[in-house]
Amino acid sequence: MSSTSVLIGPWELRHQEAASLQQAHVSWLPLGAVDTRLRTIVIPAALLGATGPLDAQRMPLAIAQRAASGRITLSHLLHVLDHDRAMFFAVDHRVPEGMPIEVAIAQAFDVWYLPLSNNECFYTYAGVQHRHVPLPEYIRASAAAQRFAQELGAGDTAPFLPRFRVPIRRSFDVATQFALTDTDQETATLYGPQTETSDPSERARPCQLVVARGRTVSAQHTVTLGDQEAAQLIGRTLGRPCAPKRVGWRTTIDVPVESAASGAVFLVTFEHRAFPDGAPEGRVTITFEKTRGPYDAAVAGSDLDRLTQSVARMVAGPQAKRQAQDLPECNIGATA
Amino acid sequence: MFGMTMWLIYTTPEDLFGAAQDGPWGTIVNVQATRPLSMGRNAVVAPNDGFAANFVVRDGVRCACPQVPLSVDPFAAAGRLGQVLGDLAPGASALFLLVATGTGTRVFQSYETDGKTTYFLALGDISKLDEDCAGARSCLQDTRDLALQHGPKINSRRIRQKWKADCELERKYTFAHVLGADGWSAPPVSIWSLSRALHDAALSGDLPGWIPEFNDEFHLWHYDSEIFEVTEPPAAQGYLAFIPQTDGNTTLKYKRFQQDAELRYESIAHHLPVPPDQYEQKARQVSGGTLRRLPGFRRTRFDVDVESLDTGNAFAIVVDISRPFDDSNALMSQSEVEYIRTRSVSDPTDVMKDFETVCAFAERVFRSCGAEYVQTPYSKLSFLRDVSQASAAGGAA
Repeated sequence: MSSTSVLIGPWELRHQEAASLQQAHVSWLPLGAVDTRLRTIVIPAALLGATGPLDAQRMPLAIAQRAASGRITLSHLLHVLDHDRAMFFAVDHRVPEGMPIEVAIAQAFDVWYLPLSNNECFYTYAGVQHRHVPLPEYIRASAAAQRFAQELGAGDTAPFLPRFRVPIRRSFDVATQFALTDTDQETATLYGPQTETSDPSERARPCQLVVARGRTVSAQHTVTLGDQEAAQLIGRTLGRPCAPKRVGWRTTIDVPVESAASGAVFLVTFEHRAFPDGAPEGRVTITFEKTRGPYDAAVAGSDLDRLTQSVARMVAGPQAKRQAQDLPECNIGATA
Repeated sequence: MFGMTMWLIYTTPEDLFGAAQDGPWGTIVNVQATRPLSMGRNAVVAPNDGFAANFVVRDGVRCACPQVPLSVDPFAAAGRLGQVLGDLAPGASALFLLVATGTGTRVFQSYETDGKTTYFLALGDISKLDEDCAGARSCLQDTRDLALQHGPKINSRRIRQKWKADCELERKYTFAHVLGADGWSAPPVSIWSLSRALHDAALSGDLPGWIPEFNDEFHLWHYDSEIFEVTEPPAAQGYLAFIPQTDGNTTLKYKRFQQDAELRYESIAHHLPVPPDQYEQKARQVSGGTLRRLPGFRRTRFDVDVESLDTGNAFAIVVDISRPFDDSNALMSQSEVEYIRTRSVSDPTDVMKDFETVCAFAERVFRSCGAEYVQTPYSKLSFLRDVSQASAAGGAA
């Protein structure tokens, strides 16, 4: 019968300091049901022994599978830690027959030490992609974000999970809208500081320029005001004439998401924007950012579609409608 | 903090920013802490289930409510919270924590959660809100004004700012320093055990007024560096370190200094498409100076990051081992206390004072662990120069 365990032992085995050890010894802690085909596995402290991942002497090093035949494979190696969790990355490193497990672990880390060495180095950047889901008027962006975060945290959207150590963030922007004067249907909206600000740090920060036809986004850029006037900046960036239209505001809630299956990393942004002379609008933008480990275009694309569908289902789901019925009249008034 | 006058304001960002100039936008609740809070002038870290309601303010009037626990988790289900607060909007959460300061009230905005606790960041002070609730309307207005004033800065995370751009402030402690040996030698201190002791001490209150940096408290690093010393001209002196990344790109650090010191110029660029055979060319281009190649080395380091609740200044306490790639069997094991950033809506203050506090804390932990150390500005550059010189002389120091 096959079994899966977490191997816990001296830190030196993963940091090429094994030669410092007189006698290395690892412990095998049996794991319950774990899908070792996943690219990343997060193990909570409760499964990592009495002192959790930050034991003073020993650390969780690897996940090992022992087949019925006795063959051992190090399926995953430790990637990152925090105070009550450890994240492991898939390596599928077969242990040669007869080799002590301590030696095998040290050898596996010799091969993998660089990508596993810190929090940021093991990402593959292959172009950012966006999808958009409009929010119906009766659903608030903050309520949708809250529900999505709850479902994500509860594992209801597996293999999409909250990102390890990257928290949800809220933000507020001034929205300055321009009409593109070579058409009567498109607008360009700059999300960032007030465009007349004289604060140099505000003028130096990156802001988002979104071109849209109605509620459909056709292009998105990152720009900086610097010493230019906003209309001049937009004209130059888009190569099109524009004229100021109106000023409003936008709030966003960014929910960082990662696929445990593929390593694809996403940001799901719940956005609410309002202008004084129009009804408020909400939408969700699902952004593929990068991949933890090797990138596969087809997998990333299909993950992005699945995550978008999952968000769209949540937005259209019965719970959302129930919430809409419960929504007090005054709150609808406040956002309209 | 038990017995302090505190208030939570429940609302949504839509209501906060969409409200009319003096219109109501949130539900104010007078609360008491039921579990210890970590509290300072710049931030409060509260357990998500660390408050209970005393009463609710409705239309400027104090109204009784059930005495039940309140959640401050921005993304938890309202559950019983909705029952207590009644007219809570969907998606509402405790966006602000208000704490009486004697003469006034300090406003903290919910900034991040780690799922168990929530970090509230100070925005500024407003007039006192008394328990008779007479000032409730102006409290809402003043809190909203502060949120509008600081929103853009919080938004772009520029509140994680640097005291001096392009400078590195760090104090070094050397545990071991071997320029050459006949064989492999182990360092005299376990860098893992020491980093764990530092983390435990920071968690257990041995550094009063500080916390492990919120959502960023511990790092494992393990990387190689190829080193070029810049020997001339004086303004360019120092070294460049080329650090290979997994994706084939390179991180480049350039530290400029003429002698080992606690404050040095430092620039870091990531994701440079520079392969190893072009390191020297790139070093020449970046520094514009005369180069000398020194032995590369592998560095293993564990960082414990700590943050002041009073100033937002954060420091990394790094514990490391560096081993050159040559056959010298040299090693150096050090700790560095390094200023990394400040999380505050105000400009950084008291950096040097906090630096001394964290250095003293680190030294106390070293001593409690029995780790012998020498405080010295001795840099990686000096170490590699000495290793190179010892190798050239054909002997170990």
